[in-house]
Amino acid sequence: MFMLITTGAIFKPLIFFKIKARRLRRHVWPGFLLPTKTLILTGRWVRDAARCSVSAQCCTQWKMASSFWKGVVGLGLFALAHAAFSAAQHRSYMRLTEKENETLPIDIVLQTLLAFVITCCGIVHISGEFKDMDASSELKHKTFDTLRNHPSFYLFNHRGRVLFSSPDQEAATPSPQALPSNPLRLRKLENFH
Amino acid sequence: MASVSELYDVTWEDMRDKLRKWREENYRNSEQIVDVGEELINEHASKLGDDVWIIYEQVMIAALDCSRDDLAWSCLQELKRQFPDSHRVKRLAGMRLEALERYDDANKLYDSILQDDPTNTAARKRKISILRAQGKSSEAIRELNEYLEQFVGDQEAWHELSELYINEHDYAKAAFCLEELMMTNPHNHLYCEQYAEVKYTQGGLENMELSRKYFAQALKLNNRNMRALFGLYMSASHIAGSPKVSAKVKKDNVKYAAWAASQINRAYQLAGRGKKENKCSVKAVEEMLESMQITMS
Repeated sequence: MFMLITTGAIFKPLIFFKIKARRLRRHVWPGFLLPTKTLILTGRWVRDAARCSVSAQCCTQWKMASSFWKGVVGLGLFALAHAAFSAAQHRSYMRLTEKENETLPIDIVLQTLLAFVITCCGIVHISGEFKDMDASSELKHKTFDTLRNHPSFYLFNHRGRVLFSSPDQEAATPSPQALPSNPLRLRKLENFH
Repeated sequence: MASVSELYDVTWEDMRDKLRKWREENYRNSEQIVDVGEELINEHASKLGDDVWIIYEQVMIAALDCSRDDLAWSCLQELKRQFPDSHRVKRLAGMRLEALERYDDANKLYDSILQDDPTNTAARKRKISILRAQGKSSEAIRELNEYLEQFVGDQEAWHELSELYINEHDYAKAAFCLEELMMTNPHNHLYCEQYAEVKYTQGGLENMELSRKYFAQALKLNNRNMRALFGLYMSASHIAGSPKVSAKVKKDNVKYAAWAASQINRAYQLAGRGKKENKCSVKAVEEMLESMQITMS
């Protein structure tokens, strides 16, 4: 009975099947029914979507891994739905045969729990990288180079206007010592963070 | 000239992600932003979707830094076409005027924005930047103080004000601004360290002790902060060398300075391991630490 209530509480569409769902309005949707970006698992590290700087090989591997885990999530949700249906069937059967004191069969209970665990594992794997709980740890790599920049207060009267001007602009304003073609441009993209 | 994607073998998604990273973390590497962003706009604009407008804005500001007026003008035109009555686009037009040193026209533009919308913070901040660009730092400080009376939570503005005060050598008020920042960001080791540096600059025994404590706090928050380690060493040796302290305080500070020196040596040794010149550089570090001893003449 308790399993039925929790299954009902977890699985929204049950409401459509007119099961006695008196105590189901708790509105505590577990993680796997929320969109993955707003996953909140108290006491665990919060995952943050990993982006930039993935090499091509890693990228395809990640995509493959994600479709496997997406399959796992799908399978888990399907198994959960199946268990819910079975529980509903069992309940109506009990009501028909007037044996309302029999508990849910153990296999339905096991299937519900297993499906829940599988779905949780799948969600945790497809939702990206974890961030540290320690607030100061993500600042360990921050430097003053970037902290000092206030985009709303940028000034433009600096020597960059001369240093970075393009060669044809330089040719238009002939200077006694021509600057060499800018060596700064040749720095590798990756070296710069 | 070879395009960025050919030169470094990156796809347009990598370029877009790099631009996003630079935008979110306030990098000001304008030359690279212009190179990457210009190519992204010219070749891949259709694939970017709605991201293209924020990239236009980012590239325009970078183009103003590199005096690429043509690129800035074209970005501005695209944004004006898409968002005809936007204050944000007007602010960008004002920034372009500032870059061309037409400060009066820029001021008129910002005044018109503020007439329309008195709560627009961006226009007020640009007016303060105009004052700063013209060299009128005391007026800029006054305006910024008035702005902060109304918008107390603006972190950027507090940091800007602290920088203005440091330039004016008014360290007490700079310390106050940094205290505000430390209060709202207790986990940020950089604000602690900058506050400690300002206190160290002010000098005097209490300020020196405070500075040593805040350097230690910055190290507690981030034990890889070399600047804080050096600061701890300097402030501790300064206190130890002062004639006004008791023997116990002197002994404690000598111990702190010795600890800091050993940490510095260890850090340099770890950083240089596997390199040939490690022994020479470690020796150089030790000599440098000895030469940095404060001697009271």
